[in-house]
Amino acid sequence: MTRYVLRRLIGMIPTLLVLLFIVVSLVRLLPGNVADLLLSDGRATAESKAKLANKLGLDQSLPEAYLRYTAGVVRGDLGKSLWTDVPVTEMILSRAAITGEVALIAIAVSIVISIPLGATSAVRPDGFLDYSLRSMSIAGISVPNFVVAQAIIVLPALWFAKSIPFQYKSFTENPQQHLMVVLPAALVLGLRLSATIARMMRTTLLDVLQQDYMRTARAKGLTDFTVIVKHGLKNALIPVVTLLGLQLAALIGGSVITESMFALPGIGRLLLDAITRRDYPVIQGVVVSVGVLVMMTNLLVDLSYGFLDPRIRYS
Amino acid sequence: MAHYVPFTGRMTRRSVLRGGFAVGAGLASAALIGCSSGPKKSVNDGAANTSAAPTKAVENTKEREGMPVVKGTPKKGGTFTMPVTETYVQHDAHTAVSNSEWSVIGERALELDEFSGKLRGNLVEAWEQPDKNTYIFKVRKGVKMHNRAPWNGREFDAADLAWNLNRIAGNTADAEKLPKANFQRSTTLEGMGKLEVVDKNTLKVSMSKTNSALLNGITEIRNIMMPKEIVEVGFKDPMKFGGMSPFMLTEYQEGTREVYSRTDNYYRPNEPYFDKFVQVAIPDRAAMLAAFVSKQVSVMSSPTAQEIKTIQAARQDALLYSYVGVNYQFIMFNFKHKPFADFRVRKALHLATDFEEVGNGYHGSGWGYMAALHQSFPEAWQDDKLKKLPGLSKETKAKDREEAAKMLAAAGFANGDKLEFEIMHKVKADNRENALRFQAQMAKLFPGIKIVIKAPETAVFDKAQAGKDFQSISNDSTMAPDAVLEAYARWHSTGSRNYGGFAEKDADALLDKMLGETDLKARESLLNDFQQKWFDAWMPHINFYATPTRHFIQPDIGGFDKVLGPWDSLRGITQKPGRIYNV
Repeated sequence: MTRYVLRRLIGMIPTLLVLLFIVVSLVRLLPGNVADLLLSDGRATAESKAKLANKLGLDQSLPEAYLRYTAGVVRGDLGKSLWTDVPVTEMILSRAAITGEVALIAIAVSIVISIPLGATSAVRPDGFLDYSLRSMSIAGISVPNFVVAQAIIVLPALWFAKSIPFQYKSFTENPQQHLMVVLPAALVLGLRLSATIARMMRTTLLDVLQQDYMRTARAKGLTDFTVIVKHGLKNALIPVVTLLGLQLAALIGGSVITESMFALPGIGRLLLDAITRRDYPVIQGVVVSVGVLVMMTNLLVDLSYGFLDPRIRYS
Repeated sequence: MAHYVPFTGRMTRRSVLRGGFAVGAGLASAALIGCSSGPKKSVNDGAANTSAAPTKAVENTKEREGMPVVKGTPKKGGTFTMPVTETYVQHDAHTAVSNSEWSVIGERALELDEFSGKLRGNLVEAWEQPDKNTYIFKVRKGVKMHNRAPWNGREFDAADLAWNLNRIAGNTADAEKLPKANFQRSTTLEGMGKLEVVDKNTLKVSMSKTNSALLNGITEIRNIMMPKEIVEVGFKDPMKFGGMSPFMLTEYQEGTREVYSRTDNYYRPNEPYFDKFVQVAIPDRAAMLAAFVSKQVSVMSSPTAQEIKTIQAARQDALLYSYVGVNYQFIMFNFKHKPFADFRVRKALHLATDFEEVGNGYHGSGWGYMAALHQSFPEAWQDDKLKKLPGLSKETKAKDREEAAKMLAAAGFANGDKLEFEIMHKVKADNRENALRFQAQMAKLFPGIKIVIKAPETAVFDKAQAGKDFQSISNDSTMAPDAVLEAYARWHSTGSRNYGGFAEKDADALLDKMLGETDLKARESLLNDFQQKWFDAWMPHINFYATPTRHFIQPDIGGFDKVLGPWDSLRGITQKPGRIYNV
């Protein structure tokens, strides 16, 4: 197992190098320029803009920028914001907790909702309940996050002149106010995720329920509950866990809109603001950090297969 | 950028000097060292406008249209919460593109009256202009810095003023190893020459060239005074900043909020009223609306027509303040695009435009007519004249459109045939809707015309605009604090905002002359000539209208009828929170 983990970690290096190259290239393909934005209000000449671009390192060639950036990443240095001169690592770390918290709660919400719903649909397929739950999950997939978020934010304000608190407070500062804004944001992300997972859960459990070993378990006289939960669910979870791992990136993507709407100072908002300002080091830093997180999550997902299915061995 | 707070101000040297002559010119000049008498000598005591307490002011002032007056006794205490799209990103008032914490914790040397635009003293309480190129500034005594090291409540003095003016002008760029272009308001203090600190409260400024717009330039809303030691303290940690306003920064949560707490040594008696002034970051517009309706914030600025309906339905007690602000909406032509090099095309498009439909279409009402200059400038053509002008007059619209068709035909674009251009606009609803209405009007009148609307993202728009890489632009802008400054920036061939590349020798000569003309009657006459030629022979823009400014305020907060106005708009909140109160 240790050798397997080591091999996977070493295997991530080329992926990371390719990711770094893509990130460094793509931000330079973004039209617009931070020097234009920084000097948008004065009588800035082309020469002064060129000087600023040189000072900020914007005039580096792509290979030079890539090599410098990669060397920085190796040293743990993601550069500094072009607008604030604050180290990007510091900016990401200060925002990561809130995004992580919302994402974890969203995953928890999605698991709590989707597993029972998916399992119920699979156990009683093609009945009224199954159709209803499948319709709900399709609706959950179809309605965009921002529509649900708008409804949660605006409708109580219009009907009762009440809304969630928009002044974010950390948990230690004010636990009640913290949860009143974090929970609805997580719910918005979690609802959509749960719709996707519920459909996957239904399909895989339906498949598992047709297997010979399930018939054998029933023939041994085990109760339906034991058969479904102990033998069925556990085997049906592998694709679901895979999907959950893949959805992490989608969750971070969803946080860009959700954090803006709920006024949460997380990674998503940091990325959105950085793109608007063409703050290349921040964009690069966030994308690389999320990329590494997704790679690590995939590793953890792969490792979890062994727990879910003892037949799986790592070599 | 979020926190975008544009230029504001009004050309008021005329009123300053007119009043100033009468008020103790001899006394003031005798008191000042180094003031030589000259033919254009003028003195002003700006202190007179600054000492009225809000309570008294509320009782004594007539209610203005669109500006509700909240009756009742001002209470001490409470928190004023203002939503912003993000916390301040840049922290150096003189180099930041937009505003910074200094807008709240600092103050300006000179200010403009919110409604009349009259120049008035603030940190500088009086000033004198012994000759065209010399100014003597008297710094107000007893203005204390915040009680935070290294200032520890020391007084703001003439050396601070000198340091600020010199730095805003960009003269410290080399010493600070910063590109001079970073000092983005340097053009407002063009010609800033030698600064001599005569004594603790007196500064003598000798200009390297005449700048008739200097005093108004100083009032630019981002020309905030900072203590001179701030360069050593640095601009990275806002919690180390100390200004001289009624509020000091006591909490800075990047991306979340800035909390400012009252100080007890502010120079204006009885101020501030609120204990705290909080700026909370709410990037989403719907969330901001919900926050206002649920009373989590005290104000909601620039509501759209739909937002006004929504808020009024949900909160009938909310107060709506509405007035013509200092923004204006326009289409800017790029003279590199061949059809626009022909005056007949530009004029024809202006004559054909139904400005009422454009203005009413987005705002409903409350907008103002406009020719070359925004009507809030005292020297600008006003509504009574504007409404009768060809193109702007409703009565002559049919005739104007016939004339427009003839002009287009004469220019080789009969019926609009072969006339093709793009309108690029920022991702802003008003810019977009104005462009769409203009496009629809022209398509209806001239079926052969082909107008394509483009809406690039902000950074792309800024780059294209700066690089003059566009055919025409639908945009809005805020006036510089002086008519000549504004006209120079827009229409001088070297102007900082002349993105369309308008270049007329006559215009340049006239603008140069105006900038050097300190005789106010002569300057006003030149400005009138300029507006006439702009309208009759140049027409480098189609100025759609002067934009209405609107704010919703919670009903139990008073004082806004004093701090909001055409020339102070939102800055009445961010820069004068000491003057508003709960009742």
